[in-house]
Amino acid sequence: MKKAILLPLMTAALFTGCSRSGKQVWHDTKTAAKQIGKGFKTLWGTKDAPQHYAAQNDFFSTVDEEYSIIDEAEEGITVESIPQPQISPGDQGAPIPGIESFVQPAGSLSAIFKNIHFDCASNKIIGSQNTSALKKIASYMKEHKNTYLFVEGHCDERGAADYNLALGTRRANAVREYLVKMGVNPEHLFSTSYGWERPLTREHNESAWKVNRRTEFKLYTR
Amino acid sequence: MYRLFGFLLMGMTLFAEKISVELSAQSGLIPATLLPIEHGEDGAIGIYERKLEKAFRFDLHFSGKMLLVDPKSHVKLRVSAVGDGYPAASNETSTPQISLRPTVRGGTITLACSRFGQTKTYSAPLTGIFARDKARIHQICDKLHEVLFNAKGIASRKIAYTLKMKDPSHPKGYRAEIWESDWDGSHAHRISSAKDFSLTPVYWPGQQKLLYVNYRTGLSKIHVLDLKQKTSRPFLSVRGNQMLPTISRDGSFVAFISDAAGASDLFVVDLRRGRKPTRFSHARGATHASPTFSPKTSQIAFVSDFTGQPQIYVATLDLTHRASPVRLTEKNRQNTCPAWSPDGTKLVYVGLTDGVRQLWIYDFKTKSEKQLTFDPINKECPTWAPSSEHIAYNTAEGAEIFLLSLNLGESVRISREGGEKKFPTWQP
Repeated sequence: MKKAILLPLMTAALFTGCSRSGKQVWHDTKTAAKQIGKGFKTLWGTKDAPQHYAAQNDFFSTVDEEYSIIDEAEEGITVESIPQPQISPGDQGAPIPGIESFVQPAGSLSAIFKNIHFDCASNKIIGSQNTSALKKIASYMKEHKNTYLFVEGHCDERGAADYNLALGTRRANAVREYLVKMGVNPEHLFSTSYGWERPLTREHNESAWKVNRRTEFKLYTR
Repeated sequence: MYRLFGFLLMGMTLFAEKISVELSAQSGLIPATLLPIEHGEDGAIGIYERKLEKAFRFDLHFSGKMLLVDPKSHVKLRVSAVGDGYPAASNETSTPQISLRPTVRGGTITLACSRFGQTKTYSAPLTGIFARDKARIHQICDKLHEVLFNAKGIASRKIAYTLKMKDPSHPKGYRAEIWESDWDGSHAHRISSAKDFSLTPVYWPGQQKLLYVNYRTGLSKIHVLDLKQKTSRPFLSVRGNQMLPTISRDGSFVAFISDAAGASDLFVVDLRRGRKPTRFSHARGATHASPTFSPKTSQIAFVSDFTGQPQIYVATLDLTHRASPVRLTEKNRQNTCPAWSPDGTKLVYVGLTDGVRQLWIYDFKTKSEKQLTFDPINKECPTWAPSSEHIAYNTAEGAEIFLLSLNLGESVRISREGGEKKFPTWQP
């Protein structure tokens, strides 16, 4: 059944949406098959069955002292994402200054802190170029413990402005999480998103869109 | 029972003589004439008076209740009888119901409105400063609107937005400021600091304030801008980034997107209970965006790409009990930028339609989606006027702000100065 769904989906996926790598097409095809499977299940529901999330657990999460959540006694939920640093740079009394003190990596550092690029509408870090770059960054950050890093998430022009701001956040945090999992101190990593508000290029083609779908880095050494 | 139908001949009506205008009575538009401005003391009509007349023309035409026609035109109403479902036609003509004439006399601007043989006048003193005199014209037109149609006019309402321009001297390479203008785009001026990078303003109902996102420290944080004091301060002290704020119509709730927990989550603040936010949603692997409250603050709509593509969901606003969100949008592959109409009956949003981001309406009464725009320009960030009959939005290409009157079915560009204008928000 799964193969019967997957084969035509893969064919369709190749011709739809923005151009993607073969690996991305496979990932998206699996996602589509999963959703179609869910669709068949709901097909046998009531006529006006609303499209709920598959499980309520998918929509709510655990507590933090700065904010509340609903149903604090919820079990079985794990927070997969890594919370943001407690300090916000540049805030009154913060030990780290704001973004004006962070600089674009130059010289030999620019070879280490290369932009990370993403597929269309995705925040997944894929490709050996990206993972290799992140390993070098992680290695540098672990060696230079007085360095702080801003990870800025950006998007191409094809999404609406609001969604792009949120997607840029996901990209920046995906890079941040990757670095934390490689052993970098999470309190030294800040992330933000500019959506499509600060593109590197304003051309309207695949190359330009690829360049703009990125995270950039800014450094501060104490 | 007679059913009236027809179609509008928009542009021609204002310039041709003795033209017949077929008017759809279902549109609710009342034909009116705006006579040329007169100088009550037989003085010459100069450039300034013509500017005042033009201001009247815009406010009255886009009010959404009147159709300004040439004074010599005759309005033809096509009347049909509904028999067994096939209408028959007969004709009836009349002259425009409302006649309006602006006059300048003794340092005062007066608008005389004649209807059914009765004339009422609305006056205001002139200052000679166009921005101020225009504000008075807006007030006159709003007052007229209220008297004629028993509904508040929106000509005096402001629109705030982000103005962004490339600036090599700025640390971020771009300058992004919050600006405010009249509803016709005039009197545009900066209201936020020029040093910051600021986005997504939203007016605070009932207060001379607005919320906006500021990147001063590098993280995106929601700030409160006091429009009277011209000061700005952070709204929350939650870690991480905050973006896309919205405020309920009664000013009691704020919602926004934040990555405080590491993901792109929807947070809600019940201001009656302080400023500690509640994380309202966390869909694993999903991006959330653009919350918008229902006018009675009983529900919240938002964007989530939980199913792979951004779609619009609605959930009951209850911070004590989990309620599963319900998906609203089905027709388009991607739907974003929802905004709930002030009368609660509709949601405007942006749907990716045949490769173009178009404005769509979700009607809560009929539970149906309807496409609103069809031209080949990408649109985004729609915002409702208090009337629930007008929408402001920006185009993606060129980033200009447009005003759309639902009753007229007409869009007009209102932004003027250079730079990119985005994220418009209408003063409630």
